[in-house]
Amino acid sequence: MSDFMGGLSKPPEPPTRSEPSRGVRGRTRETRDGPRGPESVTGFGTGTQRGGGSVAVLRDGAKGFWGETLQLARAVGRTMGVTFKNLVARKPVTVMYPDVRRQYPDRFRGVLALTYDKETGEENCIGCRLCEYICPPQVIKVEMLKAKERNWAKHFTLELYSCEFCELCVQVCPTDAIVMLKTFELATSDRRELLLDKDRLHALGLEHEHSWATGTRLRDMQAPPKAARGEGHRDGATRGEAAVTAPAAAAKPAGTAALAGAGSAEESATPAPAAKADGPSTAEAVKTAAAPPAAPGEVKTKETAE
Amino acid sequence: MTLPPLAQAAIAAFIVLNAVILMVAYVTLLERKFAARMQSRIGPYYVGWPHGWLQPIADALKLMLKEDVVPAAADRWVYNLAPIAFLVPCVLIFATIPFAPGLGVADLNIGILFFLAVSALEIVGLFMGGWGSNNKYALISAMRAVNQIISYDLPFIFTALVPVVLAGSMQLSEIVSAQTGLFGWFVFRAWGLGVLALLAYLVATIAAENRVPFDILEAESELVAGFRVEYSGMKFALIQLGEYAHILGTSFLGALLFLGGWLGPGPAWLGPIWFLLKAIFVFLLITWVRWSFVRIRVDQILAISWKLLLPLSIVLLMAAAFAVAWSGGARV
Amino acid sequence: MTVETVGFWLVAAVLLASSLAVVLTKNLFHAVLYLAVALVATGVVFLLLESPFLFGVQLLLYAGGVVTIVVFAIMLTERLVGERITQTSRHVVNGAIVSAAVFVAVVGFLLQAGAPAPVTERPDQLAGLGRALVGPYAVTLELLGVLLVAALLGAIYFARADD
Ligand code: SF4
Ligand code: SF4
Repeated sequence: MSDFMGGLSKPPEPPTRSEPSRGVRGRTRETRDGPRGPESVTGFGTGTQRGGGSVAVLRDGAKGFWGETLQLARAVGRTMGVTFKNLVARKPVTVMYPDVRRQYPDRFRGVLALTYDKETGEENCIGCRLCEYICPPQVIKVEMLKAKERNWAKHFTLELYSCEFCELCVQVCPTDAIVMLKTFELATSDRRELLLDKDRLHALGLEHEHSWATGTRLRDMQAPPKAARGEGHRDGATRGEAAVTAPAAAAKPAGTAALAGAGSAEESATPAPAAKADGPSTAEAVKTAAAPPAAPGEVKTKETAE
Repeated sequence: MTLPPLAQAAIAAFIVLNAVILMVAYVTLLERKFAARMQSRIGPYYVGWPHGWLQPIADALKLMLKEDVVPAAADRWVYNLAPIAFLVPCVLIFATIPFAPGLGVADLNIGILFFLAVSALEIVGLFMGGWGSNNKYALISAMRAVNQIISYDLPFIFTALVPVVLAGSMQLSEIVSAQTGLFGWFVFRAWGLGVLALLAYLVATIAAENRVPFDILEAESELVAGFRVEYSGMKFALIQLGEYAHILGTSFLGALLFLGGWLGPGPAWLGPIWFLLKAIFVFLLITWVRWSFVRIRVDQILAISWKLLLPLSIVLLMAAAFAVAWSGGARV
Repeated sequence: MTVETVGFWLVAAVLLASSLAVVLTKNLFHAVLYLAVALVATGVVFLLLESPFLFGVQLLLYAGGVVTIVVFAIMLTERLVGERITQTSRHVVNGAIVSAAVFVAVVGFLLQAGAPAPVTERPDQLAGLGRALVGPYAVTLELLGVLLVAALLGAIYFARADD
């Protein structure tokens, strides 16, 4: 009987199934008898979760109609037990938001604002436009005002409605001028109100508590800052050298092409059919490699011609 | 009063309609509070402080003020008529429910059949919405509706017939009057048969109303909102109203069939209140299930229906018939 | 004229109009919706004839069941498979002639039979129906059951998964 019913309702098997998944399982189940137990008879497929601890009542491999029905009933009972316990025995965890506010974390990423210097009371922003360059959705627009002592921001606008709160602008600001606030109350009935100008940004900065993050602090976190930058420069230099030397290497007869060098140009210089022109330097290399008599060479030249 | 019967019926219908709308509004609030507590939340609170007593009104106002969007490629007539075609049967089922002896729009002698027949019409409105929106999600939802309706209408009808067999009548008021006495309700009767029938009735109800865990019709994660994905504003409100009216109607029917309707201790005028409380109890049972489970797969839904629920309901029906025949028509 | 008579003519008009619409509309889905209207109107006629049981059965089986299946078939072919089906009513004239002939026959029969005596006292239809089904018509009922089971088995046979 079990085969009869199981056979009738066999769903289309997924095309590949490398191993029985260990999560919530569907129809195929692993039993002690073998990697694949019998088809689920009822098709309820009450898969079990291992390692959940609290679902230990459910055992895999319930067999037969009654076994599965019993398992189903048990699972239903447990689930509804949990919700019932919530209903009668547990207190709501809701924080009654506008009346009660929970403590925001230090790294809270909220509304953006501009700051004043604590000692002199001057605006911190020097209009360097670094934040404008880094901003992924490009919502910041800055104009610099050149002056003798230092520079200023002539205009500074921030389209908060498109900001993605990535905090990158805070991170790059050399003067800690732009910060995030511990507030998220942005609701307004007019989108235009979220186009913040310089004055508004400064006002916001005075109004709300600032988050911990400033440009200096964030950069200090990236340890070790100096050494890392040095590494990066040297890397670049090596890469440049490789690009320069590659054509020369490729210019050698194809069969003996220098395999010793490093860099991507190397690969395409060897007459391997898999070689694909994937960068300007590579393309050059291939061109210079000129005409190895073999067919792959022809293919390559065609590719470069395109 | 000597009003003509038609006028009397009209007045009764008017009262029932308004009562239904009011009840539906507050049942949604009840469900939201209940669900919130099950998830350790509080639910609506500030609109109508405390505990959001005005939330349903605010929701209704909001829906009325919303823009009514009609998709450009929609089948306009079908699209616009669908909410009404959906709502009318859902409200019509209340026509046959007696709230107390003699208190109801019409106590038909085929009461329960009327109920089942009219609620079967709901599917037409659903189709109209699914088709008329000219939207793939809506269409797939309507397709799934077919498979669910076909699978769950039969168990629903069979389990609803168990009390009919036990009471020996299709008239709802007579089904209630067959349940008098201490432990006379059909849940307690017929050696556990009644409890099983009530459970099967609940499962079939949840499935027939496309509630979680059987809500593949409007599975948010795949179909966005199913057949009503294109509806907004007042039309959406009508569909929502119809859905909750249907759930409420089946809750009332369940209370009537299995929990003895308006029977209860106290004077006769307490009857409707008992009835209401029982119906709300059934509604909360359904809600409890809804907020406890996750959605199950289509093939699981079908398997539960055809392999478990349908045989169970047929067996229950036959067992009830045997029990009645065995006892020679006496109370079982 | 009583309320019943007015109601009857109203429903009759709706029934006629929707039935015509079923065969005359081009859009297949609209045709099905008109069919649903026609079936419900038929049910209401039963109700007006004080036969609520037939009304219930009509709604449950036809408006609920048959329409569902038909809609399913249409949706499956037209929207999901993407094939556009328009209803082409050929032989409208022939059809009209046939239906007119049927109409004449029915009316002639009714006129010949004369008006039935109005039913005064009404026995419990339901109980009567039940007794009839397990009494004089028991064999027919059983045969129908066998037929349906056979049909079901046949459907399962054709729908079985290919081994
Ligand atoms: S937080 Fe990110 S998206 Fe927002 S303004 Fe700064 S850089 Fe732009
Ligand atoms: S906010 Fe900072 S990064 Fe942006 S322009 Fe001003 S000083 Fe430069």
